[in-house]
Amino acid sequence: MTPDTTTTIPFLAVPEAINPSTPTAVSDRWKALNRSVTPALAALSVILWLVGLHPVTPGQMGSLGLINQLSPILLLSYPILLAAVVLELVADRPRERLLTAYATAGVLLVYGLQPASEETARLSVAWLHVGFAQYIAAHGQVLNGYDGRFSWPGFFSLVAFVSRASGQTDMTPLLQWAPAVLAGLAVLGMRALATAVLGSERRAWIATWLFLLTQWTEQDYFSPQAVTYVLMLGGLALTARYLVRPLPATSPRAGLRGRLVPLDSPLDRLLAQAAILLIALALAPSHQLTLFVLGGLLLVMLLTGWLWPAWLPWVVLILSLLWFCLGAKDFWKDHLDLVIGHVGQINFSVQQGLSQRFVGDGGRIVILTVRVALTCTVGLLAAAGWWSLHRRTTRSWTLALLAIAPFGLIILQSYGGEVILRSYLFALPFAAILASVAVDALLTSTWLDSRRTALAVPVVLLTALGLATVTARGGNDAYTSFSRADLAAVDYAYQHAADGQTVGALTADLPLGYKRIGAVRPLTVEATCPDFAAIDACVVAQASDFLVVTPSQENAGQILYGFPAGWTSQLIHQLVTSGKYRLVYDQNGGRVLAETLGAPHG
Amino acid sequence: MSARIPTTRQVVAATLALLTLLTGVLTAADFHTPLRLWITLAFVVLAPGWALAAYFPAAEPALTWSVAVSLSIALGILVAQTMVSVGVWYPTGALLVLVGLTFAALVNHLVRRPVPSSSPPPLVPR
Repeated sequence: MTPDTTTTIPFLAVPEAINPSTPTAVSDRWKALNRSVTPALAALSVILWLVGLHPVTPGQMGSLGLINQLSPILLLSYPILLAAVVLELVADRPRERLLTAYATAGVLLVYGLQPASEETARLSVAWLHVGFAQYIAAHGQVLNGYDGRFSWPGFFSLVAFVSRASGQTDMTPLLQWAPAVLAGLAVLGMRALATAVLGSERRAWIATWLFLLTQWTEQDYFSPQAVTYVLMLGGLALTARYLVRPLPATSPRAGLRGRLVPLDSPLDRLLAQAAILLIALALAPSHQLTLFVLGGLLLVMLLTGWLWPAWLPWVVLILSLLWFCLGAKDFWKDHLDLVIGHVGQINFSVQQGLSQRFVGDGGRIVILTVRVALTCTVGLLAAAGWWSLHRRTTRSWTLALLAIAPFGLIILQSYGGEVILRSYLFALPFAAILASVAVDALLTSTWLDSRRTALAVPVVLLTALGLATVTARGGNDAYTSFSRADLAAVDYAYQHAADGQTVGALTADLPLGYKRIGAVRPLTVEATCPDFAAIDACVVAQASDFLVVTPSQENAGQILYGFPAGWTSQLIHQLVTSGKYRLVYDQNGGRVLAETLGAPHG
Repeated sequence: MSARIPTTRQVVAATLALLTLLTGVLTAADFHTPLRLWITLAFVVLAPGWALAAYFPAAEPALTWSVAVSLSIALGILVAQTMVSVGVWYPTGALLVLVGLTFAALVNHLVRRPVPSSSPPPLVPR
């Protein structure tokens, strides 16, 4: 179909300058140069990144987090890699192997930055997950009534299985690089999905890169949600490849009755359905949201006439409900209000997920603003892409509905204030597919005055997205990352705590609970203190047997609560001089207080 | 007579069969080395799922590997969770069974005739 430039919006028209189907437009010299330039640029980018890396500890970071500590050389590596990607994509015959290598480099540059520059794994929850897995490994069962997450133990059981079968009792070595590996697997899933939807062409690579460069949510740490997200993408890719056959582009609406049988053989379709069922069976006991979302997305495909097997979404949804009712009984019998208490309260979900999160000092607000801007930019690009498709090739609403549907979670509940973040994560694959159409149109635009500009605009856009994501992902690292000294302090407390004793932290930003689950109880003053400004009274009231204080918590107090610099030292001084605690460990910033024997519990 | 050039599928199947064999030997012998964790993890995340995914007609490499990883992890979760739910916790035995079944499927991929590839049109036309 030849686009009619008089009726399409300008940037959709295909220019002769870059369109691969018009070879006369691109000079041979340029093409020859391109073939050797892009690998050289990519190699240079990785070298600059490696040269620019240096160790960073929480004590060095301010409220902007990691970005302030990155060297200019390292930052330069991002635009150079993206220039290589764009140049390769506009080549006559983009080389798949090189593009795969560039995407791997992109995963390293974006998701490997924190593992490579920080001393230990970040995020206290990741450490807690190791504790859960180690409990199952040792006992062969979950610890009922300990934590709601044990009601969806599939991921922890898997880690426990690997732990015992490999004879390794300590699974903490898996933590540090887990985000890079799991995010890389998600990028692979995105590539598979994009290829199934868009075909093996430039737009599928652009969609993959948009996903890679805008996944700022950090839900790729060692966690059930990270692993189940990979499974969900695999299931969606299988569906799109083997079980979907949309109506011809000229048919605006398909509907439930207009579904067509996919072109693959009956055996292939049967295998695909069995594989998706297997994935759904594994998702049900592993994460509370992911299987619901997969079922919802399959239902959208069915209702819009894309999906051929009508039974699939219903079985997926029934499986998630079955596990919730039977497998997760321990959770909902005590927390039913959390699950259904806020159904339909969109204002509550938005307040919890957005407005109540905008607290803290200036740097923190900047980071939050970057996240919102990134989300809005992806949304705008997706809308532009959908409009472009709608005008030129297909009048189907399916892709738009798939990108919007995950935000339906906001109607159901606030998910502890994370519902907008999770909705964005689940919406991102289809939003990136739509956005790729808009970015592809930029690459082939005629309204830009020269070929160089046509190439520079996408490079600048992708670089801005990538650097914004790097900024957003590292934005909390002043208090969510840890040094080896912090870990040594926690280890000291666990070594000296007797069974039944408690190890406490001032804020939630400490890797507690990764050992001796069920024997030593981790406590956090922040979680139980109604007025955190009066933290000294809360510490005394909580009366942990051991209290671990680290630079990460000092930063959290300054950034999130506006405490003065040195507030943890003042607090320690108060606790020691009051006679309620004594300082038993003080090395490289990590300090441990032990409750004085016989001290009255507040 | 010229030797047949192995297909990519056969090369991957042979590599994963070696990984599977190594995992089985290390597990059965209870060999203590830090490498055993990484070898076992690589097996659990890649091999069983690839052995299943390779029965699909040759597709895009990204699709094959994405499905392989998803199915591998799904199988691992199902095996582990079944043991936890039923209260029969034998991780070593379960891993050896998984190793045996995976190895058999991988050998089958080494010797069977390749399935012709199919590539339907993209869902979103240009």
